[in-house]
Amino acid sequence: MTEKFSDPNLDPQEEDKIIGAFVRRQAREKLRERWAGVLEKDFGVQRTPSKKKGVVLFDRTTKIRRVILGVVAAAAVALILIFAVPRLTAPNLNTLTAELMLEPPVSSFRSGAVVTTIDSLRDLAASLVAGKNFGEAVKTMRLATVESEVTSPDRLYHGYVELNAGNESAAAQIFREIMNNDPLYRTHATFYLALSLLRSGNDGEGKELLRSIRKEDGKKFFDKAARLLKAR
Amino acid sequence: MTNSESKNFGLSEEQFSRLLEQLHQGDETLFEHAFLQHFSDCRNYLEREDGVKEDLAYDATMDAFLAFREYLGRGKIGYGNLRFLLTRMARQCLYKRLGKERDVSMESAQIPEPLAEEELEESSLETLQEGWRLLDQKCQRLLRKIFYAAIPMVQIARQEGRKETAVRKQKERCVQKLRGVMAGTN
Repeated sequence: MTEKFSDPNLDPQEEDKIIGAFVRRQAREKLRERWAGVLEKDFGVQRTPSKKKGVVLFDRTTKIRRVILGVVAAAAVALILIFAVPRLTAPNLNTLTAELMLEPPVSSFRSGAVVTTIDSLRDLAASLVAGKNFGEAVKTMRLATVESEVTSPDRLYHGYVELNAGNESAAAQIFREIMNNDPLYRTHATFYLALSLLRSGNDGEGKELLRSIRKEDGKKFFDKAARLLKAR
Repeated sequence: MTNSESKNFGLSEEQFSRLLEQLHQGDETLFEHAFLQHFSDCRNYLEREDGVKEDLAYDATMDAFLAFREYLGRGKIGYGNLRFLLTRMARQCLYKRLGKERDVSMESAQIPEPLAEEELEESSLETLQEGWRLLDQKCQRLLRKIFYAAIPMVQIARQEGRKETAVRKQKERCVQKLRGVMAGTN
């Protein structure tokens, strides 16, 4: 087939067929690898190779033994954790919320190849955030969110900079609106709304929102919510 | 969430249009955000319905998601009942991996016909891969836009602020380069 491709007189349609098949194959392999990484990191989904046949009997006995030992060990650890180790070792809630609210809700929200006004504002906001200048970032994102091409990621980012600039009520309002109106970003918005409420002293509603985040909604936010719920 | 959004992975029709626009610009962000969170549901569905092992269900689900992404990019899938369609595609991919015949009942799901692909032999594939690796990034990007993202050249020209003839000439140069690079590696 490469001899065919090397022919300078090859029909253009044939040429396109060969290149197309190859490029698509490359792109699929690259995406497969990338998505496997995203699935593992963000959703806790892994490809688990299945066991070979022929060792089932041995495996079953060992498995049962391991399960029993595991249950006993887990029970022992649970008892120790409940009675012997009080919540002195739990992280401080204030410190943890301050740490988690610094992580932006979305990593990328550019339009793509063509640079638009809103793209320039997004870039400016990102560079202000990098310099921890949340006050100016707030002004920038307030301008961005009145543009016609504004997206939910933009609004999330706006809420994020308001929160880090100390404007918890404004942030909460933004996140609540996204949570109630955009199912696609509901989990992001729920988590950041919870952070905003915790920061403003509304622990009750904040923790309730954290508890509402399920593992199926995304491992990343589920794990962060779990950490916050353990903090004191 | 409305019933319509629920059938379409939480996407409103407007969000779906935006997703397609982003895919045409080579931006996978919204696609990954909207769809990958449903990967394990799809995989679990295959395990349950067809009694297959986890790794096979994973691979078939991944095949389906990759095909789904391509069909979206090519405009072969419209807003309506994306969830049902993707699930059916996953079963089709599973049957393909199992070497089974396609189930006739799936025709009603209006699954797009798979792309007719040129068969690439292993040895040819290695040479092409080596040639591709030596090709510059600009050419790789352009060829991916044309052949994978299936973005029409007139649209690529518009995105990049160039004339269509310039994009066409660049494509020809890139193909010549790939030929040249492969001739050097052969």
